[in-house]
Amino acid sequence: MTGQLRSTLQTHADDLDTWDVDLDSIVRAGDRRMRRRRSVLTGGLAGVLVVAGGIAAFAGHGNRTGPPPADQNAKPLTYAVGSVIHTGDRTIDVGKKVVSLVPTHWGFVFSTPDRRLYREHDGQVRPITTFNGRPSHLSDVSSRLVVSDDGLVTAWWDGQRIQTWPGYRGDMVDAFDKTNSFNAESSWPTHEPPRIQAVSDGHLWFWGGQHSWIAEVRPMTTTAGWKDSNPPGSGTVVDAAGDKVLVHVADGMAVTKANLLPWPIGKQDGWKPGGDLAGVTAQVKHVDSGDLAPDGRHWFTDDHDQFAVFDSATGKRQNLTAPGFAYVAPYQWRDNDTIAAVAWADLSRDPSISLLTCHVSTNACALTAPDVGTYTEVAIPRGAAFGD
Amino acid sequence: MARGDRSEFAEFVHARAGALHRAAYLMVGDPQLAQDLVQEALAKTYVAWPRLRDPRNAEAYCRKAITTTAISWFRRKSWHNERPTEHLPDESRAAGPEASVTERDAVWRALQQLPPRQRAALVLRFYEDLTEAQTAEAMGCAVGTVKSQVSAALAKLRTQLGGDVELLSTKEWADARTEEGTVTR
Repeated sequence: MTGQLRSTLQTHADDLDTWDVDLDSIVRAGDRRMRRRRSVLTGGLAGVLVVAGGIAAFAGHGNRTGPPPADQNAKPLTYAVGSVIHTGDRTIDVGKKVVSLVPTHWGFVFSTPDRRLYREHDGQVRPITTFNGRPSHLSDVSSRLVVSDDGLVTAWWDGQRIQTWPGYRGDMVDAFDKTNSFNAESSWPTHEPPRIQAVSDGHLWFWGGQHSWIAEVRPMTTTAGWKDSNPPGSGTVVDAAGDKVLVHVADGMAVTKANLLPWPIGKQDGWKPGGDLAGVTAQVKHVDSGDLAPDGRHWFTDDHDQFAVFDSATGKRQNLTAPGFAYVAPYQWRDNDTIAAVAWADLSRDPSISLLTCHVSTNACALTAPDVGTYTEVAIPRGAAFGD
Repeated sequence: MARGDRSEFAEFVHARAGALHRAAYLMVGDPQLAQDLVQEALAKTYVAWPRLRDPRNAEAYCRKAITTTAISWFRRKSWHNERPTEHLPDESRAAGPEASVTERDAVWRALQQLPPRQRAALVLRFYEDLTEAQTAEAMGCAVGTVKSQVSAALAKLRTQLGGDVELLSTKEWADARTEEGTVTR
């Protein structure tokens, strides 16, 4: 005999009209989602560089195996579970659930489920505020935090403006938007907000809907706007590291020199890129996302769900191996040779995340922090939440 | 996605979309919303497809996407367009075959008034026939949470429907009790 609950569920399910599922629209939505995910997974963290000497040498969690990091000043393996940030052998309870975080020169900037932004320094947590004292926030929970290569500037989109937080100026942010002195072409339509790609070498790179743009953000936010010069495939700047940029051109990716040049704006000195992307051709085809190492000599991607590292000069590919894991997604350069990656052994049966340390010099990955939690619990320093 | 993968994904969609739609409908109570939900979950599954491969993995992944998305949609949209009532009409307590239909309607209405997590837990446990562990996986929560959600849901249904409606059969009740011991029949 069946109880009323089960028979009610069964009856209503059986009465439901047949659904003619629209496979094409699912595939289109999936393709859009993949593009968005890649733009989140890559781009902003290439610049996360070895900050000044005071950072503790790496001391991992779990049963670390494999070769040690090539650079003993590598950024410590960092992740957050709930309100606790684990970084190297330290833990910091920030008292609020961490949704996304980035390491800064002083500590961390992180977001919470209500999209508010905070900064942590020596265990002290303070809200980041706008110039009029209002709490700063992300545009939505899936918006990215992007940090500069030296950890001095953090940037995000709040739904109206690109905000930058130069930490050396206290808790207040700078903002710039289309009403600043970018020319009219730099305006972004409201349905297609700008996407911050990288902050590197004092410059912020973003996609403005039609072109890549650059703005100087250190020591002061200026309006040194520049758009690329219509190279094939629109020449989207995907990442920047020092004077190198990783660009998407035509049907692939290439690394080229940013060519930042002095450029007088009014009576102030600004900068402009060389605008020479027109001659750049793809070094690596059929890839459209990537993350440059701090020295710009290599870049990684997980396009097509394949973890690969490419030589910036030649485009030569290396496949890094992680035995025992069905899916590996790189997310951070910890130094010029060391990549942090998240890995799942079997997503459907065991959703818990493990963290790996991979070395370009050996093509190998080692388990560094096993089973740190599921994607709903864990945040990694890539500036965006897991999931969407 | 490779061409072979696309073809396997298409096969999966055509084979399982109907069943997934039915489960989603039971969770949200609206056929169109359920379609949107499954469409969204299938798009997520499409993205994950190269690392799922096995259709059983894909179904578990998609079910989880449906469940967690349903719960978060309801939370985000704060859908409170259906208000809980203390008691449902007395006709649910009539005897005979018609009474059975009426009882099911009453149970259905009462189900719609449960919080989304409780409703999802009941659908996964008593329609999809998942174990508590599988239900926890699909809901992205601990097994203990599933126990408490199911228990609370059954208690609410019992309160709304009155004591004469047999929500679970003796065997279902015993099975549920074996797993968690606190189910209210």
